[in-house]
Amino acid sequence: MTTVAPDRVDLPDTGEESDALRPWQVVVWNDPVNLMSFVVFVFRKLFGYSMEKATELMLQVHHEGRAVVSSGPLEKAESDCHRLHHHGLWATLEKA
Amino acid sequence: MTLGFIRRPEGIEVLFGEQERRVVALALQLVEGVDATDTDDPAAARLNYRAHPDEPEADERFRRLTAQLLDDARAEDRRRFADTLRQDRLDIEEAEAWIRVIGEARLVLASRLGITEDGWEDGMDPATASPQMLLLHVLGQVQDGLVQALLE
Repeated sequence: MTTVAPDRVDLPDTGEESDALRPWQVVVWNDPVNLMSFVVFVFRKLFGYSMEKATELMLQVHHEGRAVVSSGPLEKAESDCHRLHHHGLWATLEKA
Repeated sequence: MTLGFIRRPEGIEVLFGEQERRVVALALQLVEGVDATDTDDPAAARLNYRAHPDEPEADERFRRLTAQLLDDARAEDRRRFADTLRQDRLDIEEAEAWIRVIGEARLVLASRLGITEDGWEDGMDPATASPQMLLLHVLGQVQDGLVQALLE
């Protein structure tokens, strides 16, 4: 018994399809007011990150000015962004 | 135990006296005093979030989806905060409402003080700081104490 591999079909790369499939990233930007401890708390509460992961992301925001804190389909990314706004964090969306 | 708060199995114990509570209550006055339509108030701009800053159509769609949700969530936080300001015990949801209202108040203060860069607290002398700067500092201490208690 054997199987036959299907012929490979190469689809033309229009750019649009791959762009539509790319997930969205939620970016948190540094601000001079929100406390480091508060930012860690928010990352843990909203995304369930460990203390280590939440602290790493907070420090990335602080030192590099921004960090990607979550990603996914647009609906999920916008929901995450909204929840971050509710906590006073400056968050925006961008394509991965 | 952290500044002003003790983590208990059922929530948070608040150790503040009347004077401290009067200071914490100023947070509510600050956030309720913001007119979102006042284009001359930097605090209104700071609290007006944009998810797609470079894509006006996507940003408008995001606003339509979330603006009312955000207003409702903030109103619920403020109601919880006001209702529990005199309590000695907070449940977790009440404590989280406190840290959001206090955090929002700090954003309001900082935007009106023109704070845009890190390091603004370096070398600050509470004896000579302006009342607004001192309040920003103190509310930060309160928020940090509550966050630390919640993280325990």
